[in-house]
Amino acid sequence: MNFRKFITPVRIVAVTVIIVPALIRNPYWLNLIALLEIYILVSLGLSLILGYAGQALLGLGAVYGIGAYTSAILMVDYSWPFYLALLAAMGLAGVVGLLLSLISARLQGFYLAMVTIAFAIIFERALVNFESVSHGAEGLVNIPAASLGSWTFSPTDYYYLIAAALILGTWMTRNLIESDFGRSCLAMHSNQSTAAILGINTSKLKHQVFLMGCIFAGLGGSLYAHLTRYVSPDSFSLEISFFFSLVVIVGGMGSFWGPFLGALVMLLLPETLHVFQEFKLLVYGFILLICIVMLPKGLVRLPDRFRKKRVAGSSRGSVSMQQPIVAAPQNPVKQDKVILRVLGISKSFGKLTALNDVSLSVKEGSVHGLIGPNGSGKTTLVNTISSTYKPDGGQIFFNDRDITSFKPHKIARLGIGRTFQNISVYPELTVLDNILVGLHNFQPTDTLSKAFDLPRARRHEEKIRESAKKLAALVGLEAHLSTPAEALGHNHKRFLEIARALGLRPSLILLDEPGAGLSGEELIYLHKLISHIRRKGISILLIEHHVEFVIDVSDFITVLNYGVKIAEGSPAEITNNQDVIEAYLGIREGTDV
Amino acid sequence: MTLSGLAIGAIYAFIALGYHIIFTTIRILNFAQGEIVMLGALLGYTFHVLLRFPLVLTFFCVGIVCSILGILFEKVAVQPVLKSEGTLAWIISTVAVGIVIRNMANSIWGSTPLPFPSFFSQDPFSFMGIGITPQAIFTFILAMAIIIFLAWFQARTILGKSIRAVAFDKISAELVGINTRLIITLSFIISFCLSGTAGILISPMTFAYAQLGLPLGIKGFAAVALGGMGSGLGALIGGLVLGVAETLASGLLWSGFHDTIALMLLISVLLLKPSGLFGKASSARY
Repeated sequence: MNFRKFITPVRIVAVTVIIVPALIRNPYWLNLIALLEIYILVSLGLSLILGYAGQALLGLGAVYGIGAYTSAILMVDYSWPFYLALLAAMGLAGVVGLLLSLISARLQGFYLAMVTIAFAIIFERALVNFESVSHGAEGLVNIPAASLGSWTFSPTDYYYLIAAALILGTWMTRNLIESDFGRSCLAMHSNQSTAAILGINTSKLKHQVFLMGCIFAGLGGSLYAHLTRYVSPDSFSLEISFFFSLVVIVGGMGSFWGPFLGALVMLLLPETLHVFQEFKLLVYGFILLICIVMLPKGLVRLPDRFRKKRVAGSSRGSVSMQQPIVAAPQNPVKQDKVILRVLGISKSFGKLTALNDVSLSVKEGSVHGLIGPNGSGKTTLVNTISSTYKPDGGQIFFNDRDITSFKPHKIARLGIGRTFQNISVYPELTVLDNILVGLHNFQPTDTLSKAFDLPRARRHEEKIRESAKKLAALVGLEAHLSTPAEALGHNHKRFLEIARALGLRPSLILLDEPGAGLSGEELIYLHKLISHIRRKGISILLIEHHVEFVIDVSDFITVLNYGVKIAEGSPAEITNNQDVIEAYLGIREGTDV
Repeated sequence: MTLSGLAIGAIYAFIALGYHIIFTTIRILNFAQGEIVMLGALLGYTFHVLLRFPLVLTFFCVGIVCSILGILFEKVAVQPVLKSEGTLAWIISTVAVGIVIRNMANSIWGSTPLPFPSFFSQDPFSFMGIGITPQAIFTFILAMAIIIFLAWFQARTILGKSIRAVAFDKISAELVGINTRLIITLSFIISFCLSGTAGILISPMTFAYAQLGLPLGIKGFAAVALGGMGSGLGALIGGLVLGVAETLASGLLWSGFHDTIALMLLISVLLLKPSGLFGKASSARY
């Protein structure tokens, strides 16, 4: 057990790259392995951007080239010392990374992909044409070797410098992806709007990811320039950008080992099979196509294809009811204090008016039911409160604070959690990680302390893991902590969403049809869970089609019909209200209860 | 000057329409579109110059090959990856096919630009004081004719209407009995034929070679992004605007940057107005 704990991925990488020179004496191969390590370093950066955060950056080769050229030009033309040139290369690459992330804030998906490709092409043209700076098509020759003071690095010394950079990069990447940083990236990759609703500041996260990834690329570029001692526009054409994307995708997006495996295969395969040197790019294209069609998760998942599909089907079935919800101590709440006030909200989609001047007030510590026939605007109202939609008119106050214009992640951080009518758990994350995404924003830590694995980041991680396990137990999922959410049954997913929303430590939770598709027994469990949440002092806005359920559990009910509030009052008043009976309750058989 | 810009612009509009037709039916952007243009140029060279086919037959043969490619492309690179969530999968699969086509063409035809004779005289004649070549006029008129035919096809024929129905709402199109699979395949065929034709039309000016595709593909995208992804008329106007802008600006910049004018225009327009100059406000639908 201790031994297994001792072998961490970072240590495996470190030991491997350190003993390589002892095993391989051939300078050609040592040089090739140094190049491989540079490629892995750059690919680790791209893996963060493309594989984890899902940002379609296809032109990273240009950033790599900026690193290489900055370092080369500063040393050749301006005689800067090596270490300063290296730092400048990383700095400039970081600045470019920030610019790219600003672009990605405005453009997504294929727009971003196309713009970054265009960026890479413009960069190459600029290298050829700005001869006074870049030395034109011939490039720079005789770039000085790395040196520090009077000590000039020998090839072996330089190999160790590259190895050290790779180890540092690997360690930081590993720390980040194992922390809530990595989980937030994957959540954003999976569904950006849900991520924001769970309190993730997606634009800040993108800035950090691009900054980090591009600094890696700049460092790699600079190391490359002093390894080959020669740079030219040909080395930084669009093909190198595609090469890095290929490494990440073929290796496996969103996996730690992906870039290692991908770089190993993509670089060493053509070296060993000299026959296809001429058709290298063609073969690369084919590999990429075959990989994305047959093995979209990359080579790291290849073993899974041969293994028996052991999807944790065991988790299908009813929610375990063994865990009785311990009655939480009644948290004191100020009765009659309004926690959420919706004032005259209107929202139209084209000519369809989804909400027309709707107002309601949710009292602190209460369960507020929201019912109405299909299409009456219930979910639109919830979407407006959580700021997925901007209302056309009206205001929303949370704890007497106007939150109408707030961004979704800010609303989440203020303490409004929600679940979704169309379940949107993160399918590839485990149950525990899903809940941790919610918890992440409860006392978030800074990214640097995560990257360097500082004690405060570790303590934070331990603390939220404990809370996540408690939340999983609360909704009866403690046996499935490491099951991927996609393998859960529908009923489990509903409860997982509630646990995830509770991770935000909300003071108000919006439940959008939590009972849809649940069995009678599970509805009883849900009832208990809602009562439990309420006793904790958390207010609930509940949308539900099971009218009897809502009447049973709610303190107060608002009824919508065609986007207009037609009634509100205590459950007893609602059941006797003539308008409601006509619009909704009256049609006993026709409703989808 | 402006008119030769319009002729180039009409060809960009072709490529832009190719993107647009696939995008409306299936909501993906084909990153290999430029390579089909390049193939059109090289196939045109093969049929017309090497095999001495007459021009009309050349267009026809290129159309057939492109149709087959369109069907294959949809089956191999698009359909299998659409099931996986997110946009990355199809971006990568179409980029991959682009790399394959580009390098295959490079191995078959080599990398030297192959000359394609003009359909008409390249000698400019003076028209109201401006020099115009008959070739430019022919290109512009042919491009306009095909674009108008396409507009008529979409507005008036049942197949064209089906395409619009699928573009509007795939599920309800299916519910009224439209074979959406067929329509999607058809949209790939039309799109690839347009791109192949664009390749033949442009090759007298640029010559035909394997590296031609990528810059043209990006310029076509710039045109369609200028006009707004979802708008056919926008694609047309975007192409014309781009062609004229490029011709006018080329005198102002170094010749080495000629190709990057479109790219810079693309980046700035997308950053200022992601939905395109004529697109609706619904930004970044992807």
